[in-house]
Amino acid sequence: MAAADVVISFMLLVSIYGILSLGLNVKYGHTGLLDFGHVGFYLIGAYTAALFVLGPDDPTDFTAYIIGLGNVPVVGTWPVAIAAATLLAGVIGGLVALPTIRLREDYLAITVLGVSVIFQRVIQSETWLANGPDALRGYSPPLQDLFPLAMETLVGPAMFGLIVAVVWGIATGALGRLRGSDSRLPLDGVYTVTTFGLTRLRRRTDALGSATTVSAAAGAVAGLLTFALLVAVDPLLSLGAVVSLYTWFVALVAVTHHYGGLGRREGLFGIALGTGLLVALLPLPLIDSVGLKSALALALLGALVAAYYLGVTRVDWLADVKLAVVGVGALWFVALWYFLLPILGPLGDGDVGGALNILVQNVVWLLGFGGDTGIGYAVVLVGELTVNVDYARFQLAAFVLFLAGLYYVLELAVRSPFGRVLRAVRNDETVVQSLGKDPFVYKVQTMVLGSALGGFAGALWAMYAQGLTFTTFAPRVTFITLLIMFLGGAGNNKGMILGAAIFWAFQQATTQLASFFPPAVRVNIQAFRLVVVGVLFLLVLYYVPEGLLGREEGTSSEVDG
Amino acid sequence: MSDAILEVDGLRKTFGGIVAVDGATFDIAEGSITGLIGPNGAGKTTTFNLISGFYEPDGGTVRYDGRDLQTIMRPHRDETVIWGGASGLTAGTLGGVVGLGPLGLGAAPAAGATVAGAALGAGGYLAKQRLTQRRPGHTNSRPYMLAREGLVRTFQLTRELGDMTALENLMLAPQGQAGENLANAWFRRGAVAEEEASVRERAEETLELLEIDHLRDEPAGNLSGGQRKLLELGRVLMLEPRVILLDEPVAGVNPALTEKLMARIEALRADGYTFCIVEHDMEVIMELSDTIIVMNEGKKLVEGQPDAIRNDEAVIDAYLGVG
Amino acid sequence: MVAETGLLNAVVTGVVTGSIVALGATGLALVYDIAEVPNFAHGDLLTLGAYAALLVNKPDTVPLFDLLSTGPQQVGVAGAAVLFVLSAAGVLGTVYHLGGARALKGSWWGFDAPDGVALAVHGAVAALVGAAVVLGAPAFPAALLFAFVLLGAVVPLLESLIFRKFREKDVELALMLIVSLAVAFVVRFGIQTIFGGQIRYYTVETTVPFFGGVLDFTLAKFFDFFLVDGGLTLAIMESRGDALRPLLVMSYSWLELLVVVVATGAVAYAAHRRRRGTAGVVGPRLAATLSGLAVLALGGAVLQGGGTGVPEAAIAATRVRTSPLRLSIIVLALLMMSALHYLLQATTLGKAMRATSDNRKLAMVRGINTRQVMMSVWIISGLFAAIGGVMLGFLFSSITINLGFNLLLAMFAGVILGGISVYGAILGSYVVGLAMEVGIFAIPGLSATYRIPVAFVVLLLVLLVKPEGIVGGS
Repeated sequence: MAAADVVISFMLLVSIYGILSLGLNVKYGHTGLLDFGHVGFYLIGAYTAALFVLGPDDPTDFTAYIIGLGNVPVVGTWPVAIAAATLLAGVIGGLVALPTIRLREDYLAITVLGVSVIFQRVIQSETWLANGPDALRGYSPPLQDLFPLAMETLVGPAMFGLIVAVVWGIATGALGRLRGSDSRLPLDGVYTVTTFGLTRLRRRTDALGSATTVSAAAGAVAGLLTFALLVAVDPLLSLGAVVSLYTWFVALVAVTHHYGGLGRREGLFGIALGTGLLVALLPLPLIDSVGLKSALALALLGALVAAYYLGVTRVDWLADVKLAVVGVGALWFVALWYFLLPILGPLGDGDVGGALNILVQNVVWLLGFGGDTGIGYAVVLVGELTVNVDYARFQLAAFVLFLAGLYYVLELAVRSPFGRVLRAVRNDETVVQSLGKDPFVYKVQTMVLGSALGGFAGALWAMYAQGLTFTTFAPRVTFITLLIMFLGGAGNNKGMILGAAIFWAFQQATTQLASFFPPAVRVNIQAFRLVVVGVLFLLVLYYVPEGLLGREEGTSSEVDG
Repeated sequence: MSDAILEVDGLRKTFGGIVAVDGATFDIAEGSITGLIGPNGAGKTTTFNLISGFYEPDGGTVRYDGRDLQTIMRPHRDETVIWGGASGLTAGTLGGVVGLGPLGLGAAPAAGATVAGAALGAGGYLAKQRLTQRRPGHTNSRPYMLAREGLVRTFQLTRELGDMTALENLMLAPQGQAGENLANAWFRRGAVAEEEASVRERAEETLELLEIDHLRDEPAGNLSGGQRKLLELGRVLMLEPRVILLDEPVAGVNPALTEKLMARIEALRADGYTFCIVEHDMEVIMELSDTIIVMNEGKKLVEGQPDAIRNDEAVIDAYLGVG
Repeated sequence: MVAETGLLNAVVTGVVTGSIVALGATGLALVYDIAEVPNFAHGDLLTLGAYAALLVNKPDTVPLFDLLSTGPQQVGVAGAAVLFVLSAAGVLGTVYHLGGARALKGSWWGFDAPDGVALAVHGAVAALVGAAVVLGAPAFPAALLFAFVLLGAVVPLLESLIFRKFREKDVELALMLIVSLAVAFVVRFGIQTIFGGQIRYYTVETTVPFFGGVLDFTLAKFFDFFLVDGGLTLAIMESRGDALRPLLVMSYSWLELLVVVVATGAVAYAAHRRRRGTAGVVGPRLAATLSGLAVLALGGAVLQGGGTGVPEAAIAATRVRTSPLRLSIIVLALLMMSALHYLLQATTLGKAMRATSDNRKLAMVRGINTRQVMMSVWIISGLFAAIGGVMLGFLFSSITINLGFNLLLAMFAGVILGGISVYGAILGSYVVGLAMEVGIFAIPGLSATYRIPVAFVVLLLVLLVKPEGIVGGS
């Protein structure tokens, strides 16, 4: 699998867990309700969505479920399924809240954890409900049969246009926010070009002038242009390259925005950290003996951590930027892994063309390469490329759009007077009472909202996984969501996305590492990485309890998305 | 006593056998400033908590504007409907699902089970509600209902919302903001924004009035004790109440500001606000109050004009006896 | 006539379940109450105990340690040495937690003793325990002892390495909950990192000589109760293959039953009156229960008429299906709780613990060594967890990493029902155990996977009516 494909499945998971964490953040981060049973609503969302899109149960086969609405027109479609999942999870969240929400916070946590376990047990034991302990399968995600896209018809260009519209819109939105940072890059010029001049709209004072509208409009224009170009001529590779390069540019701007303030030696220390991590992991693929390579890798990692620890405790200039250098190191590591490692093999064989070929594949991440179907190109120096647009790219666009949309909607909520009351409830319920507001009502609303988001994430999981088993919905998921929340910063919606990204980056990286071990010990390796996750969580709780981004709250009259 | 806005009659409250308030009886006249004083442990703060609905009395009544507090705090009918409906919905769904699933009933009996479950759930809740309402000694502790009716209080130990800025602390207070409704926050952003602007303006005015406008964007947790007192006063002023119960409003506030605060309270009283103040600073309370009620050991000791209280022997005894 | 299992059987099973829940819940409640940590890792401590016992019972299946093994369930000299060192270190470590080197010199004894004597005693006990484990291996009691002393030393480390650090930062309860959840994660997957994913079980010689014959104490025995015209007949049966063989038949006439019941009541009442107002180790309620049970047992033994076999017809009959192992769990739990009761009521340490539970700040002001109290709470929690975990693993004869976590909710339910106090937790655990088993029995169509949900529904209902638990005040 090309590195780009790994990143795409990573981003799908980040979207799902980002939404799930946004839900928990509404509950705990904003309102202070410790819901240890958040996974229960994820479960409800997933199974509800699946039952909406499954065909009617066939009594003669081995699976059994209570109802399958997949053949009902309109009702049995994914949009309805997602809406129903969200709604039902919200309603049940409210119903769970009614009796429990008045309890002490520790009792609340334990009882809702119990409720989530009850949900899991019901799925497990009631074979008639959703196939009991066996997997519930037999449905497929929406529009999957259109992929890989055929560009000869109108449908193909239209779908690709949609994908481009989303990617372009989100990238432009991000660029719009970063534009203010001082950078040597020509941000304003690029922004004017990529918004197709629509940035003039900003001079208007009404809703049309908001940055969100501008980026949405820019995305729409980009999508339409793509569609038109694809129908008229056939520049799929060029289009993909342009859009991909644009996203890389925005990513570069974001990185320089965040870490531009670091001095040269801080930056170099970060790069050294990232390189050190890579070196520490080298024994894993290079040495055969399991014991030896584990010991060596662990020793090197230990040395790296010790060096970092000594650095930040002894050296003053490092202590001030201790998190930033880790961020730089991680990015450097990811960059090496993404761009450099895949081409090392061909380069070692002296195959420059092959190396370039792989590099292009990873840079133009918006397009899938290889496979039987697709459009063939021959590019100078790079060689033959077969280009297609696969389903994962489409799903990614959809999921990221959902994540961005829900993030925006939540920001609206928490920055409104409603969000202010929530924060007041978290701070001191008695004050809220003394000001004539009923905290109970707000807590129930919070539970409904947060649980609905959990349900939404569940529906997306059902779509992504294409099969559900009750074991997925163990309390572990709640734990991971809590970790994501504390990592990013409780009360900070942006932090949820960052937290989910860090967690899944760690997961993906360690999954890859596990493949260097014989199958017999893979269970142990998987368990070990969860130990590391747990230890990291404890360290975060102790050293950075406010999370990487900290709280970022406050009421504002306008939310930029 | 037609002009009494608060009538306290035989109020009692005990904590694990210790009687904190023991049959306190007094009235507070509308538009007056009433001082509530007494030695430590006389039951002043407990009385405050009872009048503002934060404690449930063990006996006696408090009437606000002619209505019993317990009547004001009784659950609204909407709430009963929501709870009954929710119980019914849950029980009905469970009935239907179980009917279809494990019991293997057909569609019609399963629908019957749903209806039966719904009726059982809703009926059960309503019956429980009826029963608890009739139980002797039942009280409705829902202080926010009183605040909505214009009876508000501050706290002796200030309760600022530490994570929120001073401005936000004030902006939180006003009643019935449209933006407190999630649907409005999403779908009527224009109206909410307008309202926010006016609330913000009022909050800024209040901050200026209390001379803490330089702390506008400071998290309330970073404020000094005196500044927190002011912030809390500002918060209740934002509510536009009728009666304000102030628990030691000038404790920790510097003398110059105390003067200004007193003048402000006088001015507000002239606008028609009613104040009831617990304060240990005798000079302040004597100067400010129209009437002073002295409490001792949970009871009202004497009531009268400041001058009369100053020379009352029973009062002097009470303070000396404890002090 | 053949008796069927019924409500009585569910009740007996409930008492067994309640005993296991109580073994976990007492430790959980102590830590919750005194150290103020709602410890979500407690279930995984039970798991840890169950896995630790494998080192003694099946050393050949423990990764890395199996290198020292010389055959099935056998360890060589090196392995024995490791076990000896670990057990002895467990004992000394446990003592060390009570106050460092000073504790090893006897500072926790409550009376003055020369340093040398204390050191020698501690050393001797450690050596004795080590020897017992090594010599007893791979038998079950040795495994149990090993897990017991090991967890006594390991579990307090959680306090000194993690929870104390957070407490010193004065974090809120919610954060403490999350910290304990993270610890649970680390413990659980730490175990899995070492042991992998397979299901494990103990290999134990389960037959013991008994009245000339042999008795397999894991095999089910049937206690059949028959209500006949003449009175009550109790037949204890054993299944051998398909056939049922009565081991012992006891029958009582109505009169004898009446006498026993009246005598029990009278003695219990008398004991209660006699001990009223005594706040010692044996309070009035305990005295009444103990003397009543003694009379019941004595009467039952004395008056048992020679049975003539299973009656042909009966008015009512019910069967209790249980095994000596299950009954021994009840006994073990009662023994552990008695020890804890004695500790709390009769020792200086216990008094300090109770004072700390009432009011930690006040206890500190009074000069109580709260740190020592805190550590002893964690030690006790670990000891109970070890017993609970090993017995659970033996009873289920399958040890997985979810062993303890599956019971965590039941334990929490018991603790909360009991209003977060040790005695309340014991009562609450039995309520939960009974609710689980009777609920499964009484509600048709409810499969055994619903045990925990049933316990939880009970908890929810109680919290709805009394948010502070059944025992707690407001």
